[in-house]
Amino acid sequence: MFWCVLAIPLALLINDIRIELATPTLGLGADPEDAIVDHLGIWSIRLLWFTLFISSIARLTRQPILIQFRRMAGLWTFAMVCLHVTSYVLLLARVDLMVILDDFVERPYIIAGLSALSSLIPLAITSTRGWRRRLRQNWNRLHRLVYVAAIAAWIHLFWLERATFEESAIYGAILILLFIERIVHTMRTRKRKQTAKAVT
Amino acid sequence: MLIRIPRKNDPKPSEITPEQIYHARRKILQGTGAFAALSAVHASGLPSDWIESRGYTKHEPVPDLEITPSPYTTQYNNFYEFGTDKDDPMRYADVMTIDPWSVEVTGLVAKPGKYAIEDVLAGIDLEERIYRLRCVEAWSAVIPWVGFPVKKVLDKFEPLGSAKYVKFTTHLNRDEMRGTRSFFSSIDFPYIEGLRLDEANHDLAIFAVGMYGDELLNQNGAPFRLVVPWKYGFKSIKSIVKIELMEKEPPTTWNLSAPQEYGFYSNVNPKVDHPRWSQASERVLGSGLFARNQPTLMFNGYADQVAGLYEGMNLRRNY
Repeated sequence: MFWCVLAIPLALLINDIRIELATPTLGLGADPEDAIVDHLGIWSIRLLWFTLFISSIARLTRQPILIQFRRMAGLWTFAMVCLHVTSYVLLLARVDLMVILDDFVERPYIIAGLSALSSLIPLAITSTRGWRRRLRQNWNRLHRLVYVAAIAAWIHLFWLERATFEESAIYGAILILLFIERIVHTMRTRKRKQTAKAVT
Repeated sequence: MLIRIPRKNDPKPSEITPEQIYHARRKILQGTGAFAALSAVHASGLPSDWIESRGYTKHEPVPDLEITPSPYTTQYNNFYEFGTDKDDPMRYADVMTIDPWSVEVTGLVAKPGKYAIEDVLAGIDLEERIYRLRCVEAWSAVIPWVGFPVKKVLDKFEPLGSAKYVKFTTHLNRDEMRGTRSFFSSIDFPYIEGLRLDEANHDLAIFAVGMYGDELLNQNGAPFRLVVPWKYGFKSIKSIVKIELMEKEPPTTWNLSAPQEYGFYSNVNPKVDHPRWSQASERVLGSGLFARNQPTLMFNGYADQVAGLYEGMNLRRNY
């Protein structure tokens, strides 16, 4: 069951919260609020990267059947992002509208994070078969928004890190590889189309 | 981050010493007579459990300050020389050699030189100070330090009249400090912090040598560190090896790394915002997962004592 794999990060967090509530600091450390928001955030990025990786690996291994897993991975990513934002609102901002507005105005990484979230919303809505059929070619075009989301999410991470750029370097490098695969693939298909035209 | 792949030398949760046992170790040592033997072996440095043998003055408990339990403050630290994760210092600071320890005193002083830690501390009475600690990352704690006013040490070396600032430097040994070998680090080591001389001479500014009645653990800045309770935690520099009296404001590590985020003063100020964290409120360590945030106080609650230091200054500009 593929969804079970995608649920592991969430299951681990729930287990940590359970331990934390029973024995403080043992599950989530000294700053549990921060740990929860952080966990949901980094796993949002990991799942998003993984979703992008599914398309790449399907093309590279010529196994288009793998694409069927992409929607579920994408939706789990979206759920993780929603939980991340919810945990921020509940645990860090403490549902204080002034704090949230203040964060939005003062802290650029919040804007980057919100851009990532808002580019994912139309993708989640149009993920159904019905929407895919209705949108036809435009569906593919619309779903290129995932690249906007990925870049915004990476900027969000990069602006959050201080004293080190280890995580943003690693996730940035992986994202670049995923982009390179897409560029190479697009160039190849274009070339193939051109040669096909030349032959006829 | 929460999910970590255990590394080979990571302590298992079962290996972490419970506080009672940690505190009981001196009784074991005394009971076997090993205490005397240890002191003899360590003749060059500070004997273990020297704080208890020397004693310290306790003050009246402050009613509204609830002391943070020690697991929070000894297992959740920022000491980037050992890594940027909060539990890195707890895991990796053990290897730092703190015995022997010496402190270099230079700059505008009448008595410059390299002093053994015992000589720096000689003749100085220890006292307990229970202080709020407010980190710029919007969490806070209340810690019972054992220490003494910075002024008492500075006066020993007789600062010259031209001295206006004090610069402090943290120990650096790349072999023992894994964080300083990181390719990804964007701050420079050794870590440097500074104070205006009148700030350093304020009675609230202390050098701490202990916490909770025991010697400092390495992750908390052993063998001695600065504590300036009205400033964000990063000003309270750890494991000091050098003190320099200067005429000009010294460059400081975080200020060099991100000047728009970390000013030289870095006084706790809920009204001056930071590009990363709201400074209006704080999460009190140990208050539980769903506890409410606590409003942050001007000068971390020490405004009555220290506001005079900044009279006439624009605190928004001098953040």
